[in-house]
Amino acid sequence: MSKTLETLSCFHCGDTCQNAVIHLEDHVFCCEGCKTVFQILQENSLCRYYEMDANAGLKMDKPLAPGKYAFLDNPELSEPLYQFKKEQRARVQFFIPEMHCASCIWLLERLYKLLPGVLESRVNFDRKEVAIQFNPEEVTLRQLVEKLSALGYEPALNARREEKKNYRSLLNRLGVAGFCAGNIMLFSFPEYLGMDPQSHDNFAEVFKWLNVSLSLPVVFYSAQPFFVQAWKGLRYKNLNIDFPLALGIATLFVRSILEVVFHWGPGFFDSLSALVFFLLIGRWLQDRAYDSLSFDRDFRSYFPLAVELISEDPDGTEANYISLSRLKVGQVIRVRNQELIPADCLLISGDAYIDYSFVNGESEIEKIDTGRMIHAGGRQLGGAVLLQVARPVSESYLSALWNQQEKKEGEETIKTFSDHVGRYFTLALVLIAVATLVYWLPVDPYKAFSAFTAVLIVACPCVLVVAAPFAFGNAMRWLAKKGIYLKNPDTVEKAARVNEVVFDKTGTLTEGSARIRELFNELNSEERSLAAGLFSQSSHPVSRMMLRYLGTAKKVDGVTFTEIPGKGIEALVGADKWKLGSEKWILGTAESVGESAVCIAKNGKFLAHFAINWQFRDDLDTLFSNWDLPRSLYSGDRPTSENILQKWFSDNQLHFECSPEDKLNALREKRLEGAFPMMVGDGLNDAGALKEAWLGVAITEDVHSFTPACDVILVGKSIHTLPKFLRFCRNTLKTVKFSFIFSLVYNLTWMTFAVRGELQPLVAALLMPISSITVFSINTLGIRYFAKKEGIQ
Amino acid sequence: MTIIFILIGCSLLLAVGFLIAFIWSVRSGQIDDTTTPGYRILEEDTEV
Repeated sequence: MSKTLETLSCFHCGDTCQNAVIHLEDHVFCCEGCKTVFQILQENSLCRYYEMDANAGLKMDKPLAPGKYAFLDNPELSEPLYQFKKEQRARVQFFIPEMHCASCIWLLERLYKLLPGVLESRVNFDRKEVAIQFNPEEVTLRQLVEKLSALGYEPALNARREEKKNYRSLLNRLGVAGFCAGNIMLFSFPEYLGMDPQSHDNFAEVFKWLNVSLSLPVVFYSAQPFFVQAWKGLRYKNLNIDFPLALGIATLFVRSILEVVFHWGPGFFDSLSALVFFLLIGRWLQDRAYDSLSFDRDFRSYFPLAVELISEDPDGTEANYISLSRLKVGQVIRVRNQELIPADCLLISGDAYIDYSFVNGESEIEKIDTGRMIHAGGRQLGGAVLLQVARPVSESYLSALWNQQEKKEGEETIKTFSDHVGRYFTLALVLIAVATLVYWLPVDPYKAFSAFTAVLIVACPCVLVVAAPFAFGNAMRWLAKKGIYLKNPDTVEKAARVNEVVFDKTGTLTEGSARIRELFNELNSEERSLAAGLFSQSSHPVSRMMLRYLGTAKKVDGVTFTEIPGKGIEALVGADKWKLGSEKWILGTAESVGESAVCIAKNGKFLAHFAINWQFRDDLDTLFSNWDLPRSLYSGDRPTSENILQKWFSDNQLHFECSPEDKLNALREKRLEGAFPMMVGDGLNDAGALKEAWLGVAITEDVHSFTPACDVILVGKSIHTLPKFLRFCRNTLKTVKFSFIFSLVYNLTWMTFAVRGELQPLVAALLMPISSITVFSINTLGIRYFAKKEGIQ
Repeated sequence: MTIIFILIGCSLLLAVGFLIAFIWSVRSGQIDDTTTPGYRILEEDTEV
């Protein structure tokens, strides 16, 4: 029996049916969702869907939350989604990440059969987009989106997409250049065949002027982008990569016009127009390649966020985490001190002091009254608050907040490096070209000009500018697959330069469990649950540990809550002043035997004392066994577990009882010494140190604490991949550098021919796109190779 | 040999015609998506 079960695969999605198999007619389905989709299709006689690609469907085991798209009924919120809206005709365009095969296109373009009111739907498969025209009087936007979702094609409504790149103007320029180049070549035939210009009715003269007129659209329309870019650069006193191209085109044109006007010769109109034609083709190919990649990067490398969902029972403390994308309107979530508001929410209870600095850059803290709206992206300061979701926000929105964080001072990325190379290279190039011109001019004026242009064209370092972001974006995508999320592509280069690593201990090297010993406990049961309630407000690992230890938390109302970093929690409950935190802060001395200790005091009366010994992660041996950088540890705890840590660190690498400021200062010192330290720590409590470090890596346990203060987010269980991560980034950078060197060598080689006047400008224009394509290939293949080598796949 | 000039005029006109056709096709969006039509042609509309 088990044998037959194994071979059963769902008729809709093709997955192996694991436990419950649903039979319908002759087909089997793995889940109700898949069966439902099949039924919908069958009712509308759209079963050809399965003929085109067997098992084309998308797995439907997660039912759509009812009301998820209720917000679309609100005209204010749905308005921006429309491209066009009138009484009987509206047009929307959705990005559908799940689109993957010919069947998808077929079904999506037959949406009008499934949903009356849909007038037309057109798919753009490359961009995974569907443009739908519908009659808003017959079908609402919400019904439309829900129908798509029910079929498994849930549109990504909030996905922020770059403005659609318009190839149309580039294509038009390309077309004009091709037309002119072809005809100019035709009229240059007498020249090629060496006909005597005097003998045939002024043909040569007429052809010359025809060429002049045909070259005008080439120079002034088709080649316009080169001139515009070069001029933009010049205005900022910068020789950019378009400058040599613009100079080459302009020189050829002016020289040719002079030749025709003064009857020196036929000019170089054929070379000129073909040159522009090939340059535009190269640019078009390059843009397409770059586009298709950045598209992939934008949608595959988002950090999966989770939020803490409170069960329906408002007094319940049972918390579970769900992924942000499954958050529904009306659900209640808890956001603790320092955590980010994941969606637009209404405040139910608690004191909300929201710091919107990630959203609008202003550091003013806003106090929110109960029942008022809190916007996504704000950060809660103060105790935990309960929020009701008013409108879910996509992960891409929060990720965008993360990405747009300003750069740290003095940061130099390879992008600016390639700008430098570009600038000096361009300058050198122009000088060499001028030298060539000066050398050849007395010898052979014809050769002089063609050599001059050939030098400018063949050595153009265009590809350098796009190569680095392209490669890093690629690397970022590989890493995201492994649970390593980078803030932006430039982070790869920063990681490659890391030469020292600083670890935090609690929450980083230790996992979220510990042994807790009671040294002293005079808490009565009410005080105990109240203390638990106070701990539940904070996101610090010690607080979470204590909450788990103390058990049921009492719901605390009317509390003034402050969390002092490195010390503890201070709260006013009714008339009682509570202090929960480190021994040093409450007792004034530190004497207990645990690694860290927590004291509880009420109105100055010492009530309880706990010692905490943390459990280290299992895979630390793997982490440190192939470690090749200097490392050190800064911990806020006392050195009792030193004997364990000594396995991995020597004595002078261990630093204990550090306050958050101490960590920050240690990192600042290292930076001043010229090192590039990477800080690995808990995103919320080491935020300062993470920011100060050259590269801040936040370790998260349950992927719910999203902290924009870091460059990299690493899921706790993949901490052992850190050395691989650093090696991979270094290899990526090497690949990029190699491709730079390759392109320089390539350009220099051809330049030697060009300088000697042995290279026609036309051939130069053909050679240039070849170098672009080679550089792209080196980067793509190189990074794929290193990703495989490090097992990042 | 004056006929050559007329021929040149004709050939240029013809070429301009093709250029206009190309620009029109770009403007009407025919070149925006070069993948999907390839799939679309495989779909056979058997429904009534």
